Amino acid sequence: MIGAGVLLGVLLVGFQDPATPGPTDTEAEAAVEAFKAAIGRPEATEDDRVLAIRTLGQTVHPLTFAVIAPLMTERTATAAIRITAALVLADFRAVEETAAALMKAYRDPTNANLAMRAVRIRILQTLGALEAVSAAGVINAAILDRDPWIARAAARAAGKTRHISSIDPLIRRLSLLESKEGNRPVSGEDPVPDPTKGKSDPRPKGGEKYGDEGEKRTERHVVQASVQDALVSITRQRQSCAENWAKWWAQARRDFKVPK
Amino acid sequence: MTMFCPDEEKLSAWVERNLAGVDEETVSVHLAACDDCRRAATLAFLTAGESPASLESDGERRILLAVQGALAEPSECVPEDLLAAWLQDGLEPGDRVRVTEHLSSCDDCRHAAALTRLSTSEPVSALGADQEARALDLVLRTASREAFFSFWRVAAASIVVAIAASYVSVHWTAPAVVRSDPVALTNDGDRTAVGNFSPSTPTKTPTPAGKTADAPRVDPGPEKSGPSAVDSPPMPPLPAPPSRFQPVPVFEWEGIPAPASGRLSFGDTLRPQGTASVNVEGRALVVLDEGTEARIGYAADASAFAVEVGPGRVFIDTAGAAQNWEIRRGDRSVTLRGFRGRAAAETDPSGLRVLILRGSAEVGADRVEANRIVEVRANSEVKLEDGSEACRPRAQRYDAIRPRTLLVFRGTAGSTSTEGPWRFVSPSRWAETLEDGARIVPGITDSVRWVAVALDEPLPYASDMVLRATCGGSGSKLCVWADGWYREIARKATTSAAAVEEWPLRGLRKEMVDMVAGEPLRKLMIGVIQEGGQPRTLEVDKLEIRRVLD
Repeated sequence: MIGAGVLLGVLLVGFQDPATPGPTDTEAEAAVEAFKAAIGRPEATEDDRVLAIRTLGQTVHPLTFAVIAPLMTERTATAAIRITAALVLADFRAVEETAAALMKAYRDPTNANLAMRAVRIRILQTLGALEAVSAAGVINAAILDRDPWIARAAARAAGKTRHISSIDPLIRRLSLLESKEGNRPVSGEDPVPDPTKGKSDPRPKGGEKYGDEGEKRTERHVVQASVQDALVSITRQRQSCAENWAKWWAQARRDFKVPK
Repeated sequence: MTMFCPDEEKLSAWVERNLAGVDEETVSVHLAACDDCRRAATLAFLTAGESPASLESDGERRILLAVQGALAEPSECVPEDLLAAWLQDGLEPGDRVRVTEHLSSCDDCRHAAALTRLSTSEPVSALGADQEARALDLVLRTASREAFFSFWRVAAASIVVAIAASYVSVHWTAPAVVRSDPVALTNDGDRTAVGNFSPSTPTKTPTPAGKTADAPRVDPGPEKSGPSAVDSPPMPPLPAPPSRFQPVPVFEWEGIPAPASGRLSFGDTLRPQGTASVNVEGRALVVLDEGTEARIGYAADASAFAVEVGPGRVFIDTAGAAQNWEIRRGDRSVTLRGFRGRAAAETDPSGLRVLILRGSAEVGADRVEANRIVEVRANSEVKLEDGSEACRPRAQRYDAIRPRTLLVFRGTAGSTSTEGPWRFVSPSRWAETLEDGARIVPGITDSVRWVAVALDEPLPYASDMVLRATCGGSGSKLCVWADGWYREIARKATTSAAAVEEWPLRGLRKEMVDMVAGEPLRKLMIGVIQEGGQPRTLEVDKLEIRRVLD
């Protein structure tokens, strides 16, 4: 009787519709070979390499992941290559190590300078897209980053990962934004120098205005809405200012569970 | 016109090859120049009651050529490819309505559609003699003799061209035939030349001074720059085109007449006076060196662009993309698979060779890198050779004559295009406030008014793209926006008068992250920033996106 039940169970399992199969090892190997051929051509331009990474990223497999992930920290890789690698990894939810690789790349010294700010932002965006709860630590730290664009990207990622640990740093950042720190001007300059122009200093300039005579663009302009949105996304609450958020959180913290 | 029109009897005799040498030549020359007589010759053929079996005779081939030439005349009727697509439900709604409306008012096209449907269900080449005769009878019954002069265009195209083209593809491309009678081929070739750039050239291809239209073509060839062709005897012109090729959309051209409806079919022989260039679908450049003849099409069965090289040299530039190219010369062909780069295809009387100037391609099982030569033999076998010495001057020549940019999109603000290569909707040429405008560019605190162009099909971004726009208005600070990626720009013009502005799309950012190649662009906008709340205007007329090729 038990044997028949087991047999029936095996048969049922056997006849179930299989989940959509991913690419086979052979397909992944072929994709990697094609990628190597494309990226290794001596005349390959940056666009060619970017497109090769995008193509490789369509084959979601540990083998292709193992090729793409190191590109985010490869010493000779340009910002565009790193950005593309981080971009395509948004589809690699099925590969367990993806979030860890992104976090490692975020902390990598080669991505620490201002010229690679866009890479870090893209990594944060991908962590958010993956809803990588394991990346909450990195995201929380980034929420308090001095760079408002990093903080903005981190707040948005926090709104997607919806981890309870993000509430504190979000309220803290909001509080800073509502203080005079929020009035700090923000540079609109491209951190990666435009090759079509001459050299430009990417560092924010004190008292820089938006345009020649326009309104100042401040950290508050850049970050505040994203932080508010993230808090609403995680808590499903609405509060008008940092002080109210803090009061509410002090009362709710003990029994709070992130609502579905 | 160099002579009075021949009478009907003489035309019939010409059709049946019953004329003596001088008369034959005279009528041929006349037919090359006279639309009316070509029509009459076509009529004579169709009403002669000849059975389709007799299509094997040379007379029908000449009729085919005459019909092809006659088809050069512009017509308001629906082109055959559109009609075929209409029958197969393969048209966009806009095109479908246009064709349906035309069919409702045009007997000729309705007949042609009926015949095409017949030939689609029973391919003409597969019809038995009786069926072909029935089809021919149908044409003759449904069109009165008076109506024939308008009807012949479509009917002749549907019946004669379809039957004869099928026949040509089977019988007339045999190498032995092509080579055995070069003089006759040259004559026929020049008959083909009557308006052979047919869809758009109501006038015939200019004939060099001192030559009759039927005189053997003295090939100027690529001698000026092609060392291999020096002292070569004249090349025969291009043979009749095989029927397996489809037209290709052409985005831009130089040195050749404007293609009708922006497409080149494989039947259109390009014979530029000097050099010429053709932008194929915004994906590739085909550049014809001086004295070159060529045809361009798309071989769907091989998923390859196709170029038939007559006398001369053709350069192919894939603009960085990997593409398949079938390169032909009459009796031989080679396909470059996964070709990404630049190549020169040359012909001389002894053969066809393809020089890889940049990049690489797969030829059969071999990967052919730059500075290699693919020698193509008559049986389409290939021999690979080193050729850096030969490639260098070709690369220099190409660099001297090539276009510097590749047009990938063209539109006009404030208009809607539902046909042609670029389909888009643009509500206004004047910048307007958008309902959700405040969230479009979060980094800009002033309000922005926008001129928008929504594309029907996404355009993949490349970092060498530039946006050109004719702009007027009082605004000096603008913003280019594409699917959420944007950058601020300053107008170069100092007055509000309309002027062409050009901005690289490189550097468009979203959340401070630069756009990378391959990003699909579906909507483009140019905004004028209302600096300090002051009203600023912007008017945009023409818009272009080009790739700047290195």
